[in-house]
Order: sequence, then structure tokens, then C-alpha cells
Amino acid sequence: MKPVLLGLLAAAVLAGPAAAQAPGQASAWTPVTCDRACLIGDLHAYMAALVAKDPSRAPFAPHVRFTENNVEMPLGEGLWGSIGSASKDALELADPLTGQAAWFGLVYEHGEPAYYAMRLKVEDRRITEVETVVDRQTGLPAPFGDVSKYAHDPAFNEVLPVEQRRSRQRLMAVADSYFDTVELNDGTVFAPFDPDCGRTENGISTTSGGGAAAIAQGCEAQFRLGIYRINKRIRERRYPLIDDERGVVLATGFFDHDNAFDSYQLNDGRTMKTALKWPNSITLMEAFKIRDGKIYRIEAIFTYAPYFMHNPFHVPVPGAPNAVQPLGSVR
Amino acid sequence: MAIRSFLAAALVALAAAPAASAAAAPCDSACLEHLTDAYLDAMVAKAPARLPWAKVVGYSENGVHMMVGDALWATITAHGAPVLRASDPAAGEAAWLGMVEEHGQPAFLALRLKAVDGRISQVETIVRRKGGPAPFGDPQAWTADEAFARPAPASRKALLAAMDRLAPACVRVDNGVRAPACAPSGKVRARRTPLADAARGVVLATGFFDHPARDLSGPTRYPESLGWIGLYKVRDGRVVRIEDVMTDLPYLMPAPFGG
Repeated sequence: MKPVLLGLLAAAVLAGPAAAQAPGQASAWTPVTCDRACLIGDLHAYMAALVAKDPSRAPFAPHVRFTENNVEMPLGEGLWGSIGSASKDALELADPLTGQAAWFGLVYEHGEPAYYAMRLKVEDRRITEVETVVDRQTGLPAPFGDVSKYAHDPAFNEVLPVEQRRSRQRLMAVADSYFDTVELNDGTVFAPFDPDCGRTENGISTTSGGGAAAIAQGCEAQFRLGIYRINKRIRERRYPLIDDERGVVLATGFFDHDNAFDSYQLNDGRTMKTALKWPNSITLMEAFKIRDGKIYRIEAIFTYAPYFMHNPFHVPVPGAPNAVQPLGSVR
Repeated sequence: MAIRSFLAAALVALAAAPAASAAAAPCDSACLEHLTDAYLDAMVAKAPARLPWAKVVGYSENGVHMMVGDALWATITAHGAPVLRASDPAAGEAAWLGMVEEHGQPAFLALRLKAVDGRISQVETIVRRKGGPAPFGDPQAWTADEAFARPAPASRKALLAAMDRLAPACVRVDNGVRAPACAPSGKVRARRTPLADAARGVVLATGFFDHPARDLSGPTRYPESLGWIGLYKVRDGRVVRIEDVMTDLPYLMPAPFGG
């Protein structure tokens, strides 16, 4: 009886601290074990291992969660089997507080280029999560820029003067307000935009030049006009990486185009036709540069996904307002 | 008190009796095939509430679970006559393959429907729209191979056993385009055969062809999977014709209903 009692006591002591943590947290103290240089080193190690098709060359944890275009698969599958090379030039982001890092660039599969965004998570100096979006040329009408002209805005790497920085919470709120603006885009602008805000998507500027920019130039002007009305939902939004020194947020999510209508009117009376007539989603990784609380630069890499596909890293919230509005509900 | 309880119980039983007997009525082939027609009509009318749904319903389009009323329900503007049908009262399964239009643009649809006691509990669909590397014929000109019209009754067991035996002259048609061979391209994954139509000699199969693109032997230079629903015509213990609807999906996409 005595040993049983002691065992129960020991179990209670062991269980005590775990049950006492803040909700969702494994520990009340999480030391930074991998700083920015360390995280960027892990990005480089990952890319080198990927190009070598040899996972043993990167510091992986024994169990790694790996996704490519929202499908969870073993390391070594997907792009690991088809890659030939990767670009030297890349947009590299890091958040030592959460152990997250991201890489935006180009990969080549049997000589064909693809836009590639990758996020990894590092815990105890080991990579535990890898999430990737690969945009290939499949014949569908997603933007696909001239890879020889693909460049990243140096603003993403600039450390902001203290007076232009904002808290992590505010940076996340600003990024979220961007998606609120895109969702059901009817001219309502929830996001604070810098007057010089610019955006590139899969290597193409979509706020200056041709394409959507031919209809209206600049981030805010496009949303005031209601160009992006086809976005029924911006779903499964996540903000895994925030760099408050540089004012950078990395977001992931889906733009759902249910295409219940195939034409719509802009706020200046012009009529737009949808590019595709059928339901589709785009899955994205999007980097925001936020200066003085305003969105200054956006770089996105996205690709088509089956409509309403889910991201294995997303944790569903029952009854969340972004869940689903079924047929016949208010648009 | 005891008598009152007895009477109350009897009243409940009487009230429940008609519903229970209606629910227990078997749904034969005609009933199952009527459900697929009613389903297509309800989609075009955008009126899902008019269908007899089970308490818990699973619905998928191109491998993704979602709510009834979303996706094709929002875009469909018309449907054609079925190019192929099949049903399996023993399993409560029915299939409808044919053409649908979304804002006037034609697409191929393969639909598998499961009903329990006449109520729809599962709907699994593959919709192949124009665009992307998978084959794409003319949905409006799509007709089934005449082999499907010839009756070839066989037991469910015999039909399912024949699935891996391809006749030498077997022909496969993907989205209205004749495939180079009946044998699958790429690795077959998560194949399921939930329906065997003993009267027609037809089996419905769902699954994926995976193309890892480690070399250039596959259809694309990048990894991708093709998700499909197909009907297999069996004669004399061998598969003689396959008609399927398949679409491009992310590599190693999970199967919506297992497998």
C-alpha cells in the first residue's frame, strides 16, 4: 500500500507543473536557443540538404512534420525527389522568440523553375516543422513572373528605427486587417497602407505595371475599387513568424474563390469577369513589411489548391466565423 | 402510474412506427439511382434541403471534405444526362458519371453516393475542369463505350475479384480521352471498390495515381497525384473497359473516405 501511495504522490508532483502552464504553452519559460543568425543558418542547411536530396545534411529532430502544398508527407518526398537546384538569392526571415524562419526563392525541377516559400520551426537546435508552398507552371492562370527578374525588396531586411516599430500584437493585427480587406473586397479598407505600398506575387508586381495593376495602381487604390471581390474567405490565417525589429510578419492561409458569380462590378462601374469559372483556393505564404504601423511591402508566393483544402498545421477552432457559410447564406 | 407509463410508451411506439417502417424500407437500384438524379437536380436548383439527408453526412469534392452547398453547388448551372450509371443495393451505393456546366463551362463529373435507409450519408465527387495537365476531352461529346451497355451479370464477389485482371483488349478512357493503356500510370494508392453492380457487371473504384517525378518517365516534371473515380466493366472475370473522371491534385493528397 505504501509504495502505491508514494507512486501516486510522485505522479501528482510530476503532473502539477504541466497542468499549471499558460494555456497552450509547454513551459512558462522558453529561452531563445537559436538567434537570427542561427535560424538563417538552419535555412541554409535545409536548402543545401534539399538540393543534395539528402535529409541527413540538415539538423532535423527525430520526428519532423513536413508539408508540401498542404499535404503532410515524409521528408524526402515531393520536391525532395524532383529538385535540381535552388536560387542563391532569397528573402530570409527569422523570429528567434518562436524559433521560426522562412525562405522565399526559386527552385528548379528537371530544369523548370518554380516559386518556392518555406517555413521551418527550430526547437532545441533541431528542425521540427517544415511547411512549403511550391508554385509550378501547371497551365492554370496564376501569376508566374519572369524568373530572371525575380528580386526581393531590401526593405524586408532593414532594421527599423525604434519609433517606426510596433509590438508583435499590432504587427499581427495589421497583417490580419490586410486579409480582412481582401476578404469580400467591396471597397472597405480595414488595413493601414503606406502610400507607397507595393506587392509582388510569384515574382510579379501586382500593384504597378500590367495585370491587376493596369486596372488600378497601388495597394489601397485597388481595394477601394473592389478588384479582389472574388475572395469569399481568407481562411486558416496563421502568423507563425514576427520580426518586430524589422516590422516583418509571415502569414499563411487560403484565399477561397467559390466563383458563385462569374462577373462583378467595380466601384467605378466597370465590369470584371472572373478568370476561372469553377471553385478554387489559393494557398499562400505572404511576408509583410510594416513601417510605422502601415503596410509598406508585401511579397507572396502562392499556388492553386483544391477548393477548401486544409493546412495540416492549422488548428481548427469550432464555430469560428471563418469556418463555412453554406449555400444561401448572406454573401 | 404504471398504466399511464404503459400508455405513454404505446403512444410513442405508435407515433414512431410509420417513420421506423419507412426508414427500414430497402432502397433498391431504382431508388438509389433516383437519388443520384434528385441530387443533380437539387444542385442545379441550389436547393440541398429538398434531399433526404442522413443525420451525419460526409461530402467531398476533389479529395476535400466540405459542407454541402459549397464548391460545385455554388457554380453549377446545368447537368447533362448520365453517361454512365451504376448501383449496388447491397452496399447502398450509387454512381453517376456525366457532364455538368459551371456558368456555361462544361466539366466532367463522377459522383458516388451512399444511402442508408434511403437517406444520403456520403457524397464523393471528382470534377475535372479545363486547365492543368490531366487529360481533358469534350464533356459535351462524352459517350460511354458500348461495352458498358452490354449486360454482363456476375456476383458481387466475382466482380470485385476481377479488378486486378485486365483483359488483353482492355480500354481505359480518362475524362473522355482514350488512355495509352488500361494499366494505371504511376503508383496506385488508396484504391477502394465500394460499389459492385451485379446486374450490369460494373465496379466503381476510387483512388490516386502518384507521380513522384524523380525522373522524367511521368506526365509532369513535378510531383503530382491524379485523383479519380472510375467505373470498371467486367466480362468473363476480366476488366474490359474503364471510364473514369480524374483530376490533378497535390502530390500524395489523402483520400477523403479512407483507403
